[in-house]
Amino acid sequence: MIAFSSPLWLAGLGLLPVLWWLHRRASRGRTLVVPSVLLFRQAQAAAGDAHGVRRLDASFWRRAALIACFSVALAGPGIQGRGSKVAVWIDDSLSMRSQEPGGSRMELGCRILAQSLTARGAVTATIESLSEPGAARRVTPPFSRESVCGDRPIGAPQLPLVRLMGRGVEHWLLTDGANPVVNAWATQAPLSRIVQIGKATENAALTRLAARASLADSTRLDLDVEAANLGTRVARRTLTVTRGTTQVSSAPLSLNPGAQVALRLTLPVDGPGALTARLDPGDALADDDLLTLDLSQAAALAVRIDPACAAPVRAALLANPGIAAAKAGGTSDITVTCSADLAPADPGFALRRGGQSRALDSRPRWLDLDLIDQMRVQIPLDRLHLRVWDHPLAAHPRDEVVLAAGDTPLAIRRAGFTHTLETNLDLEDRELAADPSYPLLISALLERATGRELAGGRVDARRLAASRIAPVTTLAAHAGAITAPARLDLTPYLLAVALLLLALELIFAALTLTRDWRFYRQPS
Amino acid sequence: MARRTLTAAAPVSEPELKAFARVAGRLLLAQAPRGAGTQALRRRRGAGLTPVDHRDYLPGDDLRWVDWRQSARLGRPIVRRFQVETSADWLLCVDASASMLAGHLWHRAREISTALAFALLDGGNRVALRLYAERVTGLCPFGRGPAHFARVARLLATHEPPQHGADSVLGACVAGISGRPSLFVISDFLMAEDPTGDLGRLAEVCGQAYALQLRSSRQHRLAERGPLSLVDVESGRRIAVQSGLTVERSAVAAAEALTARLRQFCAARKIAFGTADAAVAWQHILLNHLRQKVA
Repeated sequence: MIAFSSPLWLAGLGLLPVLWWLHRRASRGRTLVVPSVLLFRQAQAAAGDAHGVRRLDASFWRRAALIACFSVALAGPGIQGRGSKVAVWIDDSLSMRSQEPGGSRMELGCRILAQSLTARGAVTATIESLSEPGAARRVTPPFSRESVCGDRPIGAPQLPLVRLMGRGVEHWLLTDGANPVVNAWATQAPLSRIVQIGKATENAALTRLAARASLADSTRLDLDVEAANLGTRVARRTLTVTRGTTQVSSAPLSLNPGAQVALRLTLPVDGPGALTARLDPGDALADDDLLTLDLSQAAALAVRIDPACAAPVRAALLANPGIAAAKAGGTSDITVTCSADLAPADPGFALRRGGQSRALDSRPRWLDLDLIDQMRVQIPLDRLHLRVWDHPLAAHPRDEVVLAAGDTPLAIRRAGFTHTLETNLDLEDRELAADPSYPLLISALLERATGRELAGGRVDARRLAASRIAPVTTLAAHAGAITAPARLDLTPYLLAVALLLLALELIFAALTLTRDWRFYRQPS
Repeated sequence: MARRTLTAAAPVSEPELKAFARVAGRLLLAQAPRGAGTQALRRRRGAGLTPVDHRDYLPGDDLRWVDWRQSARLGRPIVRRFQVETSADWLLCVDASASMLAGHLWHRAREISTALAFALLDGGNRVALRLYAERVTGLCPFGRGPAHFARVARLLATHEPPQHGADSVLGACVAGISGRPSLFVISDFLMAEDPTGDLGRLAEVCGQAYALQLRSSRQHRLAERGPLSLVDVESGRRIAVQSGLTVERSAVAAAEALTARLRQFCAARKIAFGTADAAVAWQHILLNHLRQKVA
């Protein structure tokens, strides 16, 4: 593919129509008075269509080729060689959405990338995302901002291993240098070019908005709102919290550089709409000036408890702050049944019992958690005195076994039903009920039945360091040297052709002058 | 001939005319029409028959011309031969059409005509001048002497060809010619019609004819390049050509062809034909032409 280093010189091709016009104008016959046209009658036949179809003479094509060659040669044409493949790593962090003069950092950077890829003469470019390393996308020329970047999601960087980055391609990085983790990775990665975009430094952000049911009053919610100034100057903002269309709070904030403030509010559980916190006025990064929280998950879970359930089960359920007993005649989120016969269509948490209770003969474990999470869970299954009813649980192929002892399922989430969990653990065992971890076990099973965290009882939305937009360092120095472009420069050849044409033109002119001189010099 | 009568209007200075007349006198007289057995000499006023040489008597010779003294001395009849005083009428036909304005043709034709008239008048001949275009536009009847030269010179000095139009018709000079005068035609012969026809008719009514074709590079040189619409200065005809060296060479070839055709025609009609470039001085043109004829 032919690329031009100074394409503005191609404007010289605009002289071609002018040249055509000049030749066309010159070819129009002018009137000349001669002593006698008899001498030119023979030439008249040779002129033929002098006033008919105007054909452009060879001099036009010679001069047109001369102009074209000069214009194209000065534009610096070159043929891109094969093998110039580029892998572009794009920093998708939130700070890349910061607004700079001319657009967002992502837009500006992608525009520079497109131009750089075109100038580099890349035959293909693989667009890699730091937030989604596996979602590579291959683009080919012509490169544009849209083709290079498109609509990119925002995500925290998941940096690829440096040693796994291919050596056969050039690696480029587009970042704003605001994330120290990315910066550290960039210093180690074999990057040929680093496009660092962005100069804005001032940004105040909402870093957290959390709500949980009040422990003191189940009819209210406790709110935590945190804001931080990640810029270099004092930031003065107004923090406004609204629920739906109702303003809950509005407070002025004055944040020193690096400072973080937290506000605690309380509001009733019942209420329409989502909770929104907003900082005004906006700054370079508008995305972190707003946080929205769905409060539907913050209210306590209404549970209807089967009267057949044993007292320890009821007590453990009601002790959970995220659970509230459903009112008589009111609606409930889930039903806890304790029965030997449970209709499969009934949603809820089913404690099956029947037959004799016996101790487990193997260690139980959560199958929906990996090993590390097993260790994090504060329920010592090994130490608990767990027993199981003889009534076996039959797991269908699409059912999910969440708790098992060896090959024996102990808790199954039924496929095709919501909020349905069956267990044949003997949760009414007195020895088990006396264990401090008993309520946690009940809560863990219920969480798996509802798919909702009950123990914490909190919903929150938070941001971490992604709201830092000030470039931490200049990364250009860490870019490796770009190898000489595999590019065949056509300029010397075109210049040679142009000079040849010029010489030809001069020779023609000299020959014409010489012929004319000899002709006119001799007497008639 | 009284030189004081020469007019200052003549396009050629008096010393030049005198110098030319001395040289051209003999050439003109050598070509003057004369009878058999005569020698062309300058005519002298009041001069009679003058013996020149002798030859053997031939049957039919007038016995009055027998030189008895020589016959007795040589022992056979000898007759005398005499110089004959000759004079002629010369008709100068000069092309005064618009085409003569190109390349100083008219200027050169005027100089040549003036000098020729002076030389002829100086030799005692009668000279008439006719300037023609599509008709006779200037006329000076036969006459002799300095006063007549003054009229001829004044006519030549004051006459100017038209800037355009006025085709040249040599045949216009035919009317009114009597006595078979000698003819001298000066023209570029660039005529819409074939000039040989008019030249032939003119030569028929004249005794001896001379034709001088004046040419100039301006006749075939085009001042501009590219396609041109050429307009004939006389007829106004237009033709389209693609100007260039090839065209001009073609025009030169056409001019050469015209000259060759004229030369061939004049040779057949015993018309003394010559051609000259108007850029050459008039003395050279006339002397070369007359010398060529003598040779």
